[in-house]
Amino acid sequence: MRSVLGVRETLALADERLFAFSSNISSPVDGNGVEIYSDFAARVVDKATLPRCTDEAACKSWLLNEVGLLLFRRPLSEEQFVRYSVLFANARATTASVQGAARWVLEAMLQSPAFLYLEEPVNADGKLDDYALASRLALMFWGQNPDWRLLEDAADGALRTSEGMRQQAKLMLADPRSAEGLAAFVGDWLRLDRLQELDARPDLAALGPEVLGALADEPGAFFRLVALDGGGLRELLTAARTAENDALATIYGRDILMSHDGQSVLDGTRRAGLLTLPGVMASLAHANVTSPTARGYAVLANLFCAPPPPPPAGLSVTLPQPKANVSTRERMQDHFANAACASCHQNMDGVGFAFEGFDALGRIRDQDGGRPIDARGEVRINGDVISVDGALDLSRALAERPEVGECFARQWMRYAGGVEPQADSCFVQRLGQLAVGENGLEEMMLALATSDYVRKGGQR
Amino acid sequence: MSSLSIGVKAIGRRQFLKAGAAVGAAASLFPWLNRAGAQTKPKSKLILLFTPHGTVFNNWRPSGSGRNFTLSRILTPLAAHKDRLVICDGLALPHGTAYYLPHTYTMASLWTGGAIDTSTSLFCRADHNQCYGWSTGQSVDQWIAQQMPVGETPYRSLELGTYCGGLAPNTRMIYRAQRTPLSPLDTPQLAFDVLFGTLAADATARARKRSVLDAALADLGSRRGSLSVEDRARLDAHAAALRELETHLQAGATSCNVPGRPALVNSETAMDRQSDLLAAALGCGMTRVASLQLRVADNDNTLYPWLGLTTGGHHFLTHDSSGPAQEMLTKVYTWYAGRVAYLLDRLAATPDPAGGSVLDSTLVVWGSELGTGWSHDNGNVPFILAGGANVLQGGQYVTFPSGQTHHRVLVTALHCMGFRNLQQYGSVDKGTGPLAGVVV
Repeated sequence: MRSVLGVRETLALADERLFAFSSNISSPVDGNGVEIYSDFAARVVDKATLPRCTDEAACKSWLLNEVGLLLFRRPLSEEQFVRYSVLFANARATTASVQGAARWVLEAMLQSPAFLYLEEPVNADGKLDDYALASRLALMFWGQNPDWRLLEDAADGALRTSEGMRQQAKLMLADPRSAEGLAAFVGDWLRLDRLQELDARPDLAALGPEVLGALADEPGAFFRLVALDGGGLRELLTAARTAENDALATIYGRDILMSHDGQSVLDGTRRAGLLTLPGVMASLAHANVTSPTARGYAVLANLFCAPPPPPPAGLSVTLPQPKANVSTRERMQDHFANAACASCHQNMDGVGFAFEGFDALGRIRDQDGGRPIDARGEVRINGDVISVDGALDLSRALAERPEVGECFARQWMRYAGGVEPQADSCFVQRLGQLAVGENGLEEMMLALATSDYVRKGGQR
Repeated sequence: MSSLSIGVKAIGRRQFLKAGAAVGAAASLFPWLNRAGAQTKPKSKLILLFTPHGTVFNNWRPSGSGRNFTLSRILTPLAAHKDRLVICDGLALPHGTAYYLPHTYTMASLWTGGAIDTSTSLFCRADHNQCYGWSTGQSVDQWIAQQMPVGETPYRSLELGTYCGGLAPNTRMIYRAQRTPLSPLDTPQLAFDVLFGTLAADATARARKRSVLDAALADLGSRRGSLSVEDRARLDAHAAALRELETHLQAGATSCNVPGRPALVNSETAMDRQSDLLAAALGCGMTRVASLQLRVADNDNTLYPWLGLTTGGHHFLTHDSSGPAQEMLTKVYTWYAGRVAYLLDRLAATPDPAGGSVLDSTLVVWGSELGTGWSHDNGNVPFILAGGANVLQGGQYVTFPSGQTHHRVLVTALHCMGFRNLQQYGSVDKGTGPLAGVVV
């Protein structure tokens, strides 16, 4: 809508969350929902300037042939063409200006199911039609509707073969618009919305909106940079560089060796990889104190797809308040003194301790509570116990694990499909193997885009 | 009608100013007031009210019994309404499923008296290794709304709330039908725009809106054919909602003063601003069935800095059975009681279109998704009924023997709303009618 009408307006309707990913598939639009869409449509059309609507015929053609195509992600059906023509004519009968009449049509289009729902007709072979495939690709890679060119190419059959689909998807990833889609994935995957919970985080609020915005944006930009540079999961978890961002200079300090061409080279002995980015570290903390539990939980849930269960009933889960000359790590020992706590916290905190070299804002620190940092940690997964020392060591170890590749592929599928993947585990496994290989991130994303799984609209 | 006009004016600039809201007092079109005003007897109204995570029973439970009791610390803010309360102690909130996923499963049972759908994988909690969908029941307010004559009130029901989060079974409590949750208008500004905004629009704007909705409806109709049964049901529900929106746009001739658009809304004031709007909407005869939801059932880690809760959050704290944690929680629950008291104040100050105050003929049912937070106990969940003399015999503290369920409260609501032949509500209910000696 922003690209069609040049209007940016927020919708006061909350998405649901599928695991961590935004979605809205589980229930119909209700009474309050239609009111909200209706108000939204009215506000948008009131703001739109409609430069193409000085002449009646030109305006009508623009609405029915161009705007309709872009908003509905396919050409208007004959029936719709007639319906919206009649609406335009009726509007002209009661409205003096052409622009006024155009607003009626736009307001209706913005409430039409053709705009609100992703329409996915299937061909006789059970696969999505050309326009539906174009929409899937655009939503996956760009986080927005397909543009005019993509719809034209799709109509010409560009997406009918696997090679054609791959070529188109590759172009779309390289397009600047993929920044939005990939950022949406990373933001949901790592739950970076935590950075907006400022009531609970006065320390973050004090950074100001510019730094906060940069903290939230960087992980997505980093992901895209690694993906477009031919990186795989290993680079994602261990690359000693990032997207250049001046607003984070005070957080990075001397971790950045130099910056050029939009990239910053990091001191790889201090900081490297997605998990060590300031925004990721800062989102997994409490006000002014780190949370090894939250950080460990995030690794288990986001990278292993194996979140530990919630605390059993009746346990006191409040840790002692921070004290002088006591490190967070020492305070956490309470978790291990109690056997009921220890069974899970050994796993979570054990992983999280490896990040103790990063403070609650994601800055590197060498002491905590007056004690030198002890960042030794342990990952217990599927019967293995891996000892690590620090976040860099942990990231390297994670990059070796096949479970991480497979979980990563599953997370991308959740994002791309908006539903829990119903695909068989061999397919997910294969995507995971691609992710850890050469050019892994791109190959994994392209393999999903060109798969029958997507062609059949997420059906097995 | 003259008494009505005077009454509406008495909704009062003063109160809305006091509430920090800008006063617009815009004359708007309320066609149904003609009908409402012609009534001879006020019609009963229902509000279901939710606050999360139960209570601290030691500081909630009144002393004494029956009609002779003293309010405890948490319920002190309700002292002015003591004679309107029926305090229920000992009611279980059964989830009706083999597995109990705390918060989420009982949220689906709270007002439906039914069970959550465990036969589907719409939502999953990997940490519990459980998948589930929406409630298999219809919430009692919606069952009642369905019995009302179509068009009796312009809104079939109103769902308001604050900070109710994204659409998920742990964040929704009202079900229009089984597996069909309704989302609340969860900011006061949004509620104002929806309830009073379109009404203030001029006749041309309403005409435009109706034509526009007709087109959207027609688009829905022409799409049904090729869809799966499930998708068709979704579109039908969407179409029904659009048709209801059209009825809200009916032109009319009577004017009714409406409150100004709420200003200065924050997490401390949002609930009260919603209470202002809800009271005004009931006073304008917009509906007879409503709900008000404060936040969500699962992991509501809200901070209450004005109460001294500045780290961790509410849900986090409920898992802590230690003295200081329970003391802080007591402050939070006392604040909740203050919000309920404010709603009752507003209802009492709002004239009913048919005479008296709105509160006289309104039943408020206040519940939560569990009883004691740290053990996730659903064996005793605090329920409080509050209502005017036309609907409820208040001033009672009732204790129940073990095994009694909250369905008694749901059936009591049905009886208060006039459906007195029902003794049972919801698939989990084994039935034995309403609370004794409570319904007027």
